[in-house]
Amino acid sequence: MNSKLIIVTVVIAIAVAFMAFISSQKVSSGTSTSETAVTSEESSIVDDQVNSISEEQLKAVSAEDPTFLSDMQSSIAADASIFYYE
Amino acid sequence: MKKIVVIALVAMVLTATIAFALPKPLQNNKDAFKTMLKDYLSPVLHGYGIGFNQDNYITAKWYITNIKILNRTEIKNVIQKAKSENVADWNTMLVRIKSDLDTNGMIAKKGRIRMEGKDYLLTKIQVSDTNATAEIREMPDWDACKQRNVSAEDCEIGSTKAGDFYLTKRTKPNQEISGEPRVWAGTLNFNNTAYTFVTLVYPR
Repeated sequence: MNSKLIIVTVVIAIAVAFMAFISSQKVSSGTSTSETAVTSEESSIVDDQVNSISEEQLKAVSAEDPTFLSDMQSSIAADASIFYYE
Repeated sequence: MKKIVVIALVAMVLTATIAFALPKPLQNNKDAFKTMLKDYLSPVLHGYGIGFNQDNYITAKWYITNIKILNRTEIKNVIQKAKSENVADWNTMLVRIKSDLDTNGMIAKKGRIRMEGKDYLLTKIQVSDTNATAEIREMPDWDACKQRNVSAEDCEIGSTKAGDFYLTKRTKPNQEISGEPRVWAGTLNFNNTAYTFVTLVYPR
C-alpha cells in the first residue's frame, strides 16, 4: 500500500514538473517574440534614418576636403612631437 | 703664473660646456621630429558623415589612429642620458629617441574630427569591428601644457568637452563589398545639440 502511494506521488510530481516546464516554455517563447518585434522596430527606425542620407551625399562630404587625412596625420604627429624637445 | 693657469682652465671648461651643450631646437629639428613620429602612426578608422535633426545638419570628417609614443618621463630620461654622454645635436638626439621609441614606445589611440571647418580632439576612443565611441573636445594648448609640466594625456582630458558620438555598423555582412566603405550610423552630440549621425567608414 505504501509503495503504491509512493509511486502515485512520484507520478503526480513528474506530471506537475512537466506542466510547469511546458508553461515556462510558452512564457519564454512569448517574451522572445516580443523582444524580436521591438528590435525589428528599432532597427527599422535606424534603417530609415540611414536611408534618408544617400551615399552620394556622404561621398560629397569626403570630396570637399581632399587633404583631410594628411592634415590629420600631420596634426597628430606635430602635437605629439612638442613633448619631445626639452 | 697661477692666474694664467686658472684663466686657461676656466676657458677650457667654458669651451667644453659650450661645445657639449644641447642648443635650442631649430625649426628643421622640430620638423624632423614630426616626420619621424608620422612613421609611428597606424590608422584605425576614418569616416565622412552627416549629422542631422529636424532643424539642422552638420558635416563631420573624423580620423582615428594608433600612434607609438613615449611618456614624458621616458623622454626626459633619454634626453638627460644623452646630455650626460655629451650629445650636443638634435639629429643624434632624434636617433636616440627613435631607438627608445622602438623598444619602449607604447601604443596610444588618437583622433580628430573636423566640423564646420574646425578641428577637434577625439578622446576616450573605443573602437571595435562594429562600434565606435569617442568624446569631442576643443584642441588643447599643447605648448602651455608642456610649460606647466602637464602630460599630453592630462592636457587632452583637461580641454573643454564639446560633445561625443556613438556609431554602430549598419552595412550587413552580406552587403559588404571589398574595398568599399561601410555605412555606420548612430548619434552625434555637438554643442548641446543632438544629431542622427550617418557616416561612410573606411576601411571596416
